[in-house]
Amino acid sequence: MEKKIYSVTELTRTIKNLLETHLPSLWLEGEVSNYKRHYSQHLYFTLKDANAQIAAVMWRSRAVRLPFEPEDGMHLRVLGNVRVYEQGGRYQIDILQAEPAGVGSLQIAFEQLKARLHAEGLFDDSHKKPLPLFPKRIALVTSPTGAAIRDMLNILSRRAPYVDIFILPVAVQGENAAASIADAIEMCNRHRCADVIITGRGGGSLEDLWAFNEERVARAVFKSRIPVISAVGHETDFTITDFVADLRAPTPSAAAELVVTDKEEWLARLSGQAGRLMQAMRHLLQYKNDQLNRLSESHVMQRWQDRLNQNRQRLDLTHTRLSGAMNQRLLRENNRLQLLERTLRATHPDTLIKRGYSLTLKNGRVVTTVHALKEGDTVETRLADGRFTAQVATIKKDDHHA
Amino acid sequence: MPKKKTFEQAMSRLDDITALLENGELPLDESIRLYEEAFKLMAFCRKELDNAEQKIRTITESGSGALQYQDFE
Repeated sequence: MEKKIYSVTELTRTIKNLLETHLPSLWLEGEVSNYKRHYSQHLYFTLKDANAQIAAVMWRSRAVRLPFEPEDGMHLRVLGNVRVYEQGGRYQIDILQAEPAGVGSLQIAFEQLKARLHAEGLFDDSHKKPLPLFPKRIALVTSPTGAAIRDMLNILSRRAPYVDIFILPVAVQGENAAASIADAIEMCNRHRCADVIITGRGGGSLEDLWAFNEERVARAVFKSRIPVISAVGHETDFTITDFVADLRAPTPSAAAELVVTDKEEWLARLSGQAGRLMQAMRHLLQYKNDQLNRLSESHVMQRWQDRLNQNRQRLDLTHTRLSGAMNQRLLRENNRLQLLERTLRATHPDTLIKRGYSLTLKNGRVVTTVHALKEGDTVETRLADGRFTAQVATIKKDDHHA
Repeated sequence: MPKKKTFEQAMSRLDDITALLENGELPLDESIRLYEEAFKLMAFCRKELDNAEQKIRTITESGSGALQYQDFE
């Protein structure tokens, strides 16, 4: 019987046939070593355990769908086919999909991107922009449907009817979500549509929130010249966008609360300010008035005032006739008097009334003390543009005047 | 103060004026001038807060890059 002599090609084909037909797609678990990402984006590495190893390859078309980056020492569970390469006389596993053994692949991807962007400085406080104290235009980069936008609109309309709101509708989950969010943030910057941007969505699984963990969104937020508040999911959800954003709000509702100051708060602050100003002015006028009274009592001032009041023109004439030091002095006194006259005008009841003070009279006499009043008295109150009468309901003395 | 002032600028100017007047060291005419300025600033701030018609719109970008506004609901 003639010996069967194989050619190398024949043998290799036989092995290839045996292996590839008897070993259909299979799951394999092992530790990664010699991991390389080729510039063509194909991945090459070895999977091994304590006693053996096998070459592994993941072609680019499949590698692009891998959300995380494998690394040496990582335990992977892969689905693949054993392939024999005749030219090299080698066999290897051709990987269709891979996931980390133990932890979820998204979790790994999250940690990897977080570490990389952190190292790049994208989370540094020095890049955080301050939020505007009084935004007039707020952009919401979120889904136009769903609870998150409803909550935000409700809060913003209630607290800050003074802002205009622009909604940049985006997909917040699914394949196009990251690109759609990033594009909207870029568009908002290109057109300067707003003073501040809120981007986010309501709660969901890690997969649902994934767009906010993608590098594209992180980079768009980082590049934004308009301050960005991230508002993704619930309080316990942290995303990459949260770390890059100028401010992280625990929820979309919280973002809406944080971004504006309540209108009532501003109004209260303004009336507080008005009160302080009026108080300061009252003190000042009182002080100047006392000064004036003291001056008026002095004989010299009395004389000048009389003369001024009698005939200013004649006085001016007199001034010009006078010469030298006397003239100088007269001018000085005259200036001072004019100033004092202005003070008097400012404290004149009519002037005060125009500023919101009122004058109350009883039987034609100004009421300056509650002792002049009885319950049931009819009084007349003068305002800047008219008067009204009223009946005294209750009288209450201030303690410190007692 | 710049011609087109913002709410922030008005509030900060108000703080300054209040401090100046409470200090009470300015001459009367200057004080009155500031007092009047302060009330104008407050009127401005109130007006800014009184945007009676809040606009809520969606913005999208057309193919040509122009913005398209649409009232939200």
